[in-house]
Amino acid sequence: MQKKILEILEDVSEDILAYEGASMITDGIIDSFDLLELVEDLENTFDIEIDAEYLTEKNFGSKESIVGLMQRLINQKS
Amino acid sequence: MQASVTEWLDNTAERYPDKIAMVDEWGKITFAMFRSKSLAIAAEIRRRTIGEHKPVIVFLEKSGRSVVSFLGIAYSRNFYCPIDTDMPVLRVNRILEILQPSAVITTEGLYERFRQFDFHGQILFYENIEENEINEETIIPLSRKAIDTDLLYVLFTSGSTGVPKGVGIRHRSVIDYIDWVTDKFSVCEKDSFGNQAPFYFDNSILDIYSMLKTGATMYIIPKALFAQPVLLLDYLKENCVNIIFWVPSALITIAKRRALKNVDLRKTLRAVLFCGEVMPNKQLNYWREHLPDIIYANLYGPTEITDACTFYQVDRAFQDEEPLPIGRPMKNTEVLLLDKEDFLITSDQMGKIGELCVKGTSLAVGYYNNPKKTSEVFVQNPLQDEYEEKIYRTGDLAWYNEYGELMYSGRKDDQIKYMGHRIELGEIETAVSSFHEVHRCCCFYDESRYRIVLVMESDIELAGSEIRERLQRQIPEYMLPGEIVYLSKLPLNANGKIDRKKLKADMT
Repeated sequence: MQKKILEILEDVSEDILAYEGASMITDGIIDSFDLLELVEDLENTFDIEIDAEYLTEKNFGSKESIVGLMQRLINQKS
Repeated sequence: MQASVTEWLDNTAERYPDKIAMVDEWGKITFAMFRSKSLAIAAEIRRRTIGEHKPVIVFLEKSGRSVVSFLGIAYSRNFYCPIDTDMPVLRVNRILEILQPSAVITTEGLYERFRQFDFHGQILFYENIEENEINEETIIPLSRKAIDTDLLYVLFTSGSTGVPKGVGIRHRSVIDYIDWVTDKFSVCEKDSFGNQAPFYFDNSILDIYSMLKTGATMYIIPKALFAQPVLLLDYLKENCVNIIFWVPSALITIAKRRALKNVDLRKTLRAVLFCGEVMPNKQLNYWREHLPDIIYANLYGPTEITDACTFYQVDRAFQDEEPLPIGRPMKNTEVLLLDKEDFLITSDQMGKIGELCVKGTSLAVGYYNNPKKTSEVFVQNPLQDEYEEKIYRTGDLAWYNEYGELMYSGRKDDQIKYMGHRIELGEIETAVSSFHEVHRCCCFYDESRYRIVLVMESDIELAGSEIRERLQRQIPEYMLPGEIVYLSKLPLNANGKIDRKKLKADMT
């Protein structure tokens, strides 16, 4: 799963994979449209729904936090 | 005599000295503080003998301090030009070359970055400008003539040849536009604007000057919130923001993620205005479903006509796939829809497409220090042979619907709108063509995926990150392509030029 998520991140923007911090949104690595695309790709790939409440810096601030969120959502689903 | 923008601040600060004018990430500014600091800036500009009618750039983070500086410059009888602090050095230098600014207002913290630029004027550090007691007698209102002739600001837009164009706007244009806005939407001191637009983007004019004229409060929303829809709506609710004027992209994000179900704005929000790109009815219908009793208005207009020149206040139901009208001209502007032979298309010629041309007091004086480009689009009204009358040819195509409303139909050229930013695809292509590995390139905008696609013929396939890094030195972040594709041969048309339409059709 992690490999697939990283592929999706890379497809949206290579800068996401290179980013080492925890504030990807504040630091301008991804904008609102990148995030929209990313969330839609994640939803379609893993057949889950990511509620708007989850779209925060805490969950989307780094590649690690995105992987963590996806693990939680997929576990909840199963 | 009609008040100038500085008199608006004088009057508002007198009426509501302790009322909050602006809220940003760093704090709050009252109208009294606002005026006092603006006058101190004007005094400092005078003390430095910078003169009048000179360009002064503002190189500050998006904040209340920027707006205070704009008014300080206006009080000093000069005109301002905001520069994005993240703008690439090459692009800033191109702007400085055109503008030849006399001074800059910045901070010591930003100076490390600013000193990279090719700038020869005077440097004013915002934090070092002291506020002394105001001598009211030294404040002389702008004359009626000066309101009509003097520039208030210059904003730079994308240029197809890679050189940005500085649009010069007079006081008169802003005054007439804001008079219309505040009257049309009954703006008063009880209102609160939720500002989204960067200050180098002319949508911000509505927020800034409506606040200034009426005593409303302007909340400068942190940029990062626009990618966090629920937190953004929470921010609006907590601060009782009741008017927003955003680019459709920001509204679309909220609709696509269905965020309005999380936060109830029915008791606070009263008007949603938008401008800068096409607002799809599918997303607007989502907003209308959740907030049915508020005002929705589609404003249309390029920077050359002071933000907007037509508007449509949504008054009927639309199917998701229907386009939204751009409506009718605002007060003080007149729209001429001209066919290819420059004959007027009237509203009874429903469906006939023509170029949207505008005249009126909202018209820019032209492109700063660029008479050639100015003369190409600010032209004599072809319907007027009795006296001199300028119109602006927008390059936008439009037609009239059965209600006599204007409908947007696309561009005559390769200009696009991305997240509200106006981008000449030629500017990106010029930047890419400077790479020695690239033989030919072409950009197009994929509307379905909201991304700029760059297609190249090249000796070697450069990594996407390298292309972006190189481009970032020349063009702003929002112009960077979202997708890069290599082709062995780009399609050409009969004239031997790259066939952009075919390329787009083949790839989308």
